[in-house]
Amino acid sequence: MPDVFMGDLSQIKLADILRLLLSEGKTGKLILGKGNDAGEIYVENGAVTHASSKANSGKEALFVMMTWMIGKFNFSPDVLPEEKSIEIDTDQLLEEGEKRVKEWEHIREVIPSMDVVFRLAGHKGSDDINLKSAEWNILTQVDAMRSAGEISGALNLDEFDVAKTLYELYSAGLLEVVERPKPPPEKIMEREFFKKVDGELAKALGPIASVIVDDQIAEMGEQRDAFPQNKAAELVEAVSSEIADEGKRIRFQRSMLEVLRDL
Amino acid sequence: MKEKLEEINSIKGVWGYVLCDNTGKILEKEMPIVFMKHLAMMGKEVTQVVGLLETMSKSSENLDLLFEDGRVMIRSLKNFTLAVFCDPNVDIPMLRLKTNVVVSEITGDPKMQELFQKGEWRRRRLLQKEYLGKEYREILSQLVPEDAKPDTSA
Repeated sequence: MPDVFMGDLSQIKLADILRLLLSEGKTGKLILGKGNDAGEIYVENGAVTHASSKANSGKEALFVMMTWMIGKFNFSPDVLPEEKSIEIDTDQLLEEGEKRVKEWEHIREVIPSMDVVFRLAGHKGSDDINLKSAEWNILTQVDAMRSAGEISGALNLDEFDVAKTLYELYSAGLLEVVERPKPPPEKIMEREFFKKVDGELAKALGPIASVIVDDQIAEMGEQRDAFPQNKAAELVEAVSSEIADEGKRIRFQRSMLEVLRDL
Repeated sequence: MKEKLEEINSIKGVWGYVLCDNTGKILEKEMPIVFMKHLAMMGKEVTQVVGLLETMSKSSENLDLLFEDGRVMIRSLKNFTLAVFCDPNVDIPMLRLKTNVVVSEITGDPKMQELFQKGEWRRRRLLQKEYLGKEYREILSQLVPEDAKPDTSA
């Protein structure tokens, strides 16, 4: 094997890379990167001893990385880990990992990404339904709003376990995939609001007030006719900082608070 | 004044507030029951933070302390401190507008000023040894230049 060992996961599977390193009794660190994800796998004298990714460590991290079909890898020889998180036999580890990769391939047919949203399906059969407690925990989170990833985060469970359970519940006819609901449209400020801002600010600053308001709206990257309601207080605060006289500034803020209260 | 202060609580994401004088004594408050057992310490702790910053000659009039699961906005004037406890995602511009107005009304309220005068201390007196916990003593010993250290021999 050359001193520099690097390549692309689309050309060679992680399991095959590891088998190659292990068959030669290598010691070192295999670094993997896939978009914003990254991970490390340490091998010592032909055995995997540690793996870590952004979210996990140990065999869970290794199993997640084994599902990466694209990405880059780079092996640095003779680097030892600071900790060891994997103790099971390497052949058994890779076998378990490959089994999981195959399961993922099935799961991906229904859950291509963790953004998929489910809802409870109407139960058509008359048979009793039996659920394990882990399945019940996940089922209680299904609300036609939360994605598979959000459920995994809410329950602090591994993405694979959640996806697998959702897939099984889906396969049993208990869940249906739904389109993720679109967020409600942003509320836009009415013209009346700007009339009040301009008018109140003019009491403190004179006729230049509306120019200051326009400048501030532009600085915020917005427009008068499509100004989002959730930025109204920010606009008022920003334009009020132009009022040097403290008394006038407080009067402006007080009157604008009354306007904001009625929104 | 209570009514004015309670307007702060009407902002979505605000949990409550304490208004205290320079001795750390709480003069007005509105806090969820879950915080009540810590309330006695809040006034003193908030005033000590402001006093510590004053001792270090740092601006302490507007403080915004952001934690992972909470946010504390502190407004301090010459003789009082208002601390607002809220969710990290609170509408900060709205909160600043409300506290600006409330602070100005507190400053202009003769009854409140009379109350503050009863506790007319310099906040840094709360940094004397007898009032300090271990952590504050360590912070002070590390951060305050020798010539600016308060007298802690009391």
